[in-house]
Amino acid sequence: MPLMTGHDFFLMYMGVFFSAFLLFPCLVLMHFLMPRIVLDRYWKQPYFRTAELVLFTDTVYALLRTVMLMWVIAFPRFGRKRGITEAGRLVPWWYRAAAGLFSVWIVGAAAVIVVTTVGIFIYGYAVGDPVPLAR
Amino acid sequence: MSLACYEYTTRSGDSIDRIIYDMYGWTPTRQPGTYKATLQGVLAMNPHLADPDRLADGTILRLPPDPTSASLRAVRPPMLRQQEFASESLTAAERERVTALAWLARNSNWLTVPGSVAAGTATSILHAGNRQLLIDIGELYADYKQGRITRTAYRAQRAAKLAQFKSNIGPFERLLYPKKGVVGAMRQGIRLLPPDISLTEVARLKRLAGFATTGGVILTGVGITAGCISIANTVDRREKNEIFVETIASTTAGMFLGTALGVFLVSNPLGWGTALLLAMGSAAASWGAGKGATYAYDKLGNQVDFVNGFGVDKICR
Repeated sequence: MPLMTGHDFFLMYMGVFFSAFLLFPCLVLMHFLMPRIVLDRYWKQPYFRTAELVLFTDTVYALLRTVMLMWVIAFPRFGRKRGITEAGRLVPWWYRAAAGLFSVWIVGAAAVIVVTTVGIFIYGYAVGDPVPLAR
Repeated sequence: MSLACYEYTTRSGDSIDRIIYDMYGWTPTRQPGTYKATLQGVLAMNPHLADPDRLADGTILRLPPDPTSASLRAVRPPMLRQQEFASESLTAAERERVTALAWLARNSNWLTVPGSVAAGTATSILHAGNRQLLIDIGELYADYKQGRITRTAYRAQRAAKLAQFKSNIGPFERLLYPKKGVVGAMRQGIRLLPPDISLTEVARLKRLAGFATTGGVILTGVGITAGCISIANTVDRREKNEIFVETIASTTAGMFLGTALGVFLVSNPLGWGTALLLAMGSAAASWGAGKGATYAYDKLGNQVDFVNGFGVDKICR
């Protein structure tokens, strides 16, 4: 007996897309809950370039600043290149845990979307029924 | 109530043979008699057709629902609306708008995908961080004129700022400054850079960035609106769901990929190459995910009625 049917696979694939509607409110929440001490210590030169500091502050792109900092809070070794390895120690445990979950959600969902989409295109060509490129 | 006719807006590549085949299943070679009778019926209902062999994109055709009393072929006719002749109550201007919307609904990808790449790239390379480099040059000039830094220091720092600016915009310098490059454009025939020229350039780049950002938001709206129009103009429930799935998948894939690339930015500098990569990657993933999800729906999930379940057809009417 297969672990899941094609129908189950489709629902899971669509579930990843629909989870994006939870992503934005959660990201806004994490943005405003970001501890001030992390921004004061790391959101400046030389950790980030002038262009990045300006682009990711006080604009719609500021949410990407939160994504970047959450990633290095949850996974300090990815911050080595910028020298941000202690950010995780500056935040409460619950924020670190939430940042980890959120980062895995974003990267995992992006990976699932890319891999599954590529897989669907390859499957279509393999069975001689390619994905139609025009509606 | 008996149905008077279907109304069909032609699209690029349509032919009268193709439309009759899609609608009724007749071909001129396999069912010549039935096909000829159907064609005559269609032509009689559409006296405005100057040349049936050359259908202009956006032409509204009236199609008899049951031209030969035979059962209709179970097909999913695109853009058909079961209603009286809407075209008769439209003014010329309204008809042009309807045609434009029909074109937009069918061809939005040709607008949104390259548009997203252009707007995303332009927003990134024209952002405030790059503009700040030009403002800094103006401030350096002020420092030099007030004797706070030497001429040599001013020129060295100005060269460094301009080099950073050129590096950030990369090959797009040819688009922004097609004749003289950024250095030539700002020099304006004199050796030192006056602050007012720097500020003029900053204002110009800010204006362009504003257009790019607004364009990106508009394009996102165009994609969703086009999906909504297509859902409203489609009778077939399965096709409505396919359009819905494509719209949701392409929009949310762009959101996820764009956010995930924030993680990538932690360990990569933001130059023109990254800007282009961000924009192209996001647009390609959005487009591909939309097509892939529609295909998956068609093959694996077509029993699911998202449109009814989420009440989409109450919004997109």
